[in-house]
Amino acid sequence: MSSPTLDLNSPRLSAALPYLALVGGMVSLAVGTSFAKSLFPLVGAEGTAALRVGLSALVLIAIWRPWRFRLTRADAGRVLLYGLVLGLMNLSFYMALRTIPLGLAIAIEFSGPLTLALIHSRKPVHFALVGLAVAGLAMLLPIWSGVEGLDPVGVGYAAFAGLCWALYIVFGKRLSHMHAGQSVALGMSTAALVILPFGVSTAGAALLAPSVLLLGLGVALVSSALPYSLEMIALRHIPKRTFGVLLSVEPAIGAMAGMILLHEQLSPLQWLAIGCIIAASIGAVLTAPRGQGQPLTEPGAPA
Amino acid sequence: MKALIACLRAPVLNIAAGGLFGLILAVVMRLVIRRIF
Repeated sequence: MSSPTLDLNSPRLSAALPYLALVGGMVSLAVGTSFAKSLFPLVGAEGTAALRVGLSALVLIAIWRPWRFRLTRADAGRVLLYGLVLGLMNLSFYMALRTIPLGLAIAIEFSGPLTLALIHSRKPVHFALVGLAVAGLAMLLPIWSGVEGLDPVGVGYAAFAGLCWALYIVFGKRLSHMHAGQSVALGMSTAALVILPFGVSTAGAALLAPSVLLLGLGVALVSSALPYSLEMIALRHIPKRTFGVLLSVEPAIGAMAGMILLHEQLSPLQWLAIGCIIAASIGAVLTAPRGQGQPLTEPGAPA
Repeated sequence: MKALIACLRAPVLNIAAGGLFGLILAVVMRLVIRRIF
């Protein structure tokens, strides 16, 4: 009698693995960020951002040892800008998470890459995509009363994180000629230097408590290193366009993680808003010219 | 119709029209959701 076993060499499983890696990466990012929120009472949002980015930078430096590569003065300037927006993006995203649910913060943050994708809208269909994105965002703006009334400051931070995300993509493209490991390690180190003063002024010596450092390392690994690695594996086997479409559901995964792990309940209107932004993002990827069907976001990017 | 499509090929008009459409859509969807729930 044969027992049912998992055949790791089956073509069906090997075709599904990159997709599982991508979904795993997105879930890991959402879980890690939910987990990060549990650090807020100990070291504040600024301290949590400093821990996540600081420890991620240390891990990346250890892996890539960026001093092995040459760095020109012009590239150093580009890396500084890239790191600056990466730091501000992380800091403002965590500041937003203090008062607004995770799924909504990611959805509002998505406005950055989405604007970048739709800014040169020339096809009539783009008009509908802009409409969907604006409708989604308008439903999340703090102009409604009742349960949908979000904290304006939190929305502002999430929107600023979106702006930094768009700049991160623009500045990241200017580094495409550099070694990927070098640019990401130096960029993350710059980001850590940007956030560290905010973290230290808020949390002080609490940042160095062994339990906090351990939790911070867990957050850094689960919300940075693991998703980045899984997405890089997925990107190698999945067409870029499909990758971009799948990555568009990130706000929904964030909302579900927030619901399950942080008990953040969203109203039907807020779910609809997330749906509109996801639809606009999928549409933007699918209507991009052939060969430019880039994902709106980059592997391991923010959130 | 041809004129409308030509307008939508200009980025500024495309985004302006899309933005207006989105705001109207948001109000309509909010009204619909409030009716249902």
